[in-house]
Amino acid sequence: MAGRDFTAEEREFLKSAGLDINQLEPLVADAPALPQDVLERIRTGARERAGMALEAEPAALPAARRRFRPWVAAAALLVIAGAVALSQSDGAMAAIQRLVRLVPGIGLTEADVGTLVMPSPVTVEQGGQRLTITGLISGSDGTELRYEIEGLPLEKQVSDVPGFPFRAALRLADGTELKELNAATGAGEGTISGIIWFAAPPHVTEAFTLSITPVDSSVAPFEVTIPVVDAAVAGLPEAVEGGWSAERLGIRIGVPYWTVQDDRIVLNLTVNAPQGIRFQEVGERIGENRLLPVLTDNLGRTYPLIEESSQLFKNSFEPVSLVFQGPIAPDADALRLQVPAVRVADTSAKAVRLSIPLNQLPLGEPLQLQKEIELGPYRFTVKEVTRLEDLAFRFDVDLGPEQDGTLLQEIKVSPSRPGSWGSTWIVDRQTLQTTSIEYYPDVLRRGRLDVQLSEPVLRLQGDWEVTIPLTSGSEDE
Amino acid sequence: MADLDEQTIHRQLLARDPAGLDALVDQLGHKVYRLVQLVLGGLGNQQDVEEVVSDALAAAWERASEFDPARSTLTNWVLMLAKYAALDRRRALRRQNLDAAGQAKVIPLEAAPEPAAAASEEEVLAEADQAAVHEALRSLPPAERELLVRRYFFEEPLAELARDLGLTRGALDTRLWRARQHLKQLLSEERGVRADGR
Repeated sequence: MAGRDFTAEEREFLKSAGLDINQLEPLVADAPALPQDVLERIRTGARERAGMALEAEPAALPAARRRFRPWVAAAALLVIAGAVALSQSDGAMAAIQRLVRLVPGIGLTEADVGTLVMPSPVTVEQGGQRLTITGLISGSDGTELRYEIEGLPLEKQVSDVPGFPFRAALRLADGTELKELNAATGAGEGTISGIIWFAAPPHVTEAFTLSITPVDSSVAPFEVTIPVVDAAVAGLPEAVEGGWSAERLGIRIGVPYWTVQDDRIVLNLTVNAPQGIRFQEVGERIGENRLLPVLTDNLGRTYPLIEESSQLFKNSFEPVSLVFQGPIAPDADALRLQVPAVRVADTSAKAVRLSIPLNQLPLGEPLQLQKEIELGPYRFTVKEVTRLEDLAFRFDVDLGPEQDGTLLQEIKVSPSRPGSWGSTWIVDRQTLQTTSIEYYPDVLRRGRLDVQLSEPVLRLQGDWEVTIPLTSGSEDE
Repeated sequence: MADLDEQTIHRQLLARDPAGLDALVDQLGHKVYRLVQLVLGGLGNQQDVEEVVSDALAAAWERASEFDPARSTLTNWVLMLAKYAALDRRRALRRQNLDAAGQAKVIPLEAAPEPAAAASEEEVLAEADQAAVHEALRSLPPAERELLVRRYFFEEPLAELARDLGLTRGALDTRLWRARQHLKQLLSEERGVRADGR
């Protein structure tokens, strides 16, 4: 079957070449085996989604990921603590705080005595390429290394190289090699950056050596020595407790930790939302009306957000973090973080079905519906539906105005009965609301277009405000 | 654990036997993972890939009754579920990838799979045509191969593809045309060789 929006020339090409686009197996015939820990996480995820009770304890997270588990615990503790007394630290909280430091290239993370960190980035050059180790942290729960390689040949990008372009080996000063556990990679024009997780070192070392062995000529061989020191003596800024906002639109925003380094103010941010509401993004950084977090002090001075250093999206590997340009004025008594908006998905809204006889949808002729839909508490209008091709339909929708700080920005169209489909969205640049959805079902049943509308994505404008008292020491670390 | 045949796995899925889901994870997990990586094309991170793989395998568990062995292999059916789950995730990730001006960042083409280990003669004979097409596809320069895979196997709209690659629509059309011509040429040579050999 040819694709839905292929041109006549493309259809002819597929036919003459004998390319069956539904045969996906040959594309992945060489897929390498997965590491056991990855396979177990997939198994756990699939079982959870299938509604199966886990038969055994969930597989342990890979060692390097455990570094982030204290964050989860800390955030949960803060939620509880926040409901009682937001600004009063108790002993337990102080104990947690002492573990969290701003690690270069890594961010605010657990870094207690015995944790080895790289004090500053290390760069080496080889063959016109530049490798920078941007961050390294190593402790009893694993080793995390972040890197960037620049100067790769543009005509043959790393991403064009079959498989991963190099093998990395991390050794201690005595030559002991750490087992590689996992890796995540991103590539851009002439650059590649990523994270590699290795096992915990069996003993303390003064330096690591990273060796990069190319498996393709696009990357130069590198060997770099990375000096490390104990986090407790590295002079790293220690994080202190921030605070929580009041609840608005069911959402509370918290700053579990924050710190300052040189002229930068670094905050970690967490969101406490009702069950079924999934946090996606803080603020609105695209479109014509940007809604970004603002940091001021009690005397009205503003500290600008440094967007390129901040992490505004929910990310699997690290908490949402905001970096502002300081320094904090010496006469300030408190900081005030204003978060004008967050984006969330409401997974609790029950899907709505829409069924249209195909005989009402002649090709290319819009069917005026003007049908008001209630999707959970959200209302919107399906204005018209057009059959573009046999298996291609366009839904023109009006997702409505903002009401009480809530703007419906997206909805999902999918088959009302299980089946495969595809879709693309057209978005209004100003409101970032979806205006049209093109929907491509694989099959149509009983002469009808049967779809369900679900998973509303919302921008909530709650103007949350978190007050962060500047206790002695916190503003001049 | 010895691999189970597809019929057995399908029966287990229909019987709601958790062993069927485990067999999918063990036997197809790596293939689904690879496909999802290809579809996401560098967007997102490993967690995204793993989540989509779990979604797809759970969907196969939920929808086992829809699988028709007469129309497809179980593996290909699961891969199709994964493809659409991954396309859905990619759309969400692409939105996150818009820059401050609302423009998509350029997402470079991802690597395509390298040639698989040589198949047995029987398998080659049984699937000669598709194998030849995929062999030719793998012989293309990586950038052309990726372009064809993204456009035809993953059915990416032209406008989206052009935006991702930082190309004008005209430039994309030209590149696609060249890639198609190149593939046709390779196929023509291959088929010529096969015809001569008969």
